[in-house]
Amino acid sequence: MTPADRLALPLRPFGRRGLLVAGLGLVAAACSPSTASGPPAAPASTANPLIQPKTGAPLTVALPNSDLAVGPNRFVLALLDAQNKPIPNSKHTLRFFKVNGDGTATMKFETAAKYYVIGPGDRGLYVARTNFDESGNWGLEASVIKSDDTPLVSRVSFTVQAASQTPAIGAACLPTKQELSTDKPIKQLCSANPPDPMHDITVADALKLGKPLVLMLGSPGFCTSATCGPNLEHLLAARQQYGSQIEFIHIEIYKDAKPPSLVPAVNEWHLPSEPWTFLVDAGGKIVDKLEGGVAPDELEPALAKLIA
Amino acid sequence: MTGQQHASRNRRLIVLAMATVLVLLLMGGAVAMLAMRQQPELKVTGVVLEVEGNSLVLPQSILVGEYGGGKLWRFKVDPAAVADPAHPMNAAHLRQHLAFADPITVYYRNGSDGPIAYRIVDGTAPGTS
Repeated sequence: MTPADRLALPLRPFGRRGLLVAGLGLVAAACSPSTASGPPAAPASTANPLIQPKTGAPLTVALPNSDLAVGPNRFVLALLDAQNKPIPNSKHTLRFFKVNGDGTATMKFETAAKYYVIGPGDRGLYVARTNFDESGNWGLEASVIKSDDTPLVSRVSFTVQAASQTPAIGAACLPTKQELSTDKPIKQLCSANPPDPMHDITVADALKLGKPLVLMLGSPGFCTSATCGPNLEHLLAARQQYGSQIEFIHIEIYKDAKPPSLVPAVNEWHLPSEPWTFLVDAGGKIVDKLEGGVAPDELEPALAKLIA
Repeated sequence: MTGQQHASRNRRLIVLAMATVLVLLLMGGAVAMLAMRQQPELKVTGVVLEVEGNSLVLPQSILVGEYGGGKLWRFKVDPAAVADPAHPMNAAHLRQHLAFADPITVYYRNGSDGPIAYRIVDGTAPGTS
């Protein structure tokens, strides 16, 4: 390890998800310690709820992942400019650090994320494939190269759990016995309008077929424009192409397809968010899991790999 | 004064007292409503930068970067804010707003230890319609 790999990062103690924005020397920390079972993150205790008078940061990194753990992860991030507007498809580097107990940080690896357009327009997601080798506090330093070659730098910290809350990549797919369209009206099983046709076999029975399986847990009827709705459309398009080789299943999040009660599968799969898409091989092993939005460009090669 | 006159007078006094209380209550209510109308609604429009907690439904808190200056706000979230049956703005949905930097507008009240979001809706970024 070179001295450059071990940096004294200006990190404050963070909670489950801490945000550090740093722009050319300006560092603003904005998070209080908190754990999943502990007290809520304490907001500013004064009458003025403002945490920072102004960030002014030319770059901010936001992390939507809710279930990062040791091992392979699909690491999603958003890059925002000084006006808090997304920066699409940028030239950038990502350096990941393990934050040590003494406040220093050790650089573990460097990578770049791929930008997937989901639409409309150039709206999309940055996705990096990461492999964390230990749990605890980690830091990410993102450098975005502007068109004039000057870098914008931002840091964010996050927590890597020893084990993921949802079934891990490499784990056996859970043999869920969800309700089917043979059990109750389809409109009580699926919030999509019209309901999709992926409610005719249980996960448990699909696993017995010896075919790869794609399982989406999401509520497309309540997120039509942003994530779940498009995800479902992409899955339905993929089903047209791969339906004979891959079993496609959708499990709705809400009981009777209406909030607020959740279906038992949400607890069974320990979902901290939705939607999720799990890819399962013919042997019943989870080979990938995708939290949130999934672009066709990302889904397509994953499905091709599933049947290779 | 006879006993009957006493009883009648007492009844009149009770009715008068009740009417007075009722009028005072109505006046108080009207004043309170007027005061509420005149108080500007507290709201912030910006992007979600962090969703704290591991519940799919109710976040422990959210961090919002306000448009027009980048102020950071941390809100506790009232369960009522995520209960809209037509468009549940729950923790999972807020994470998707975070992923795409889709704007939200947070309506809040000031609690004893910070602002509490009681309604969260899709927002509009400056310069868009």
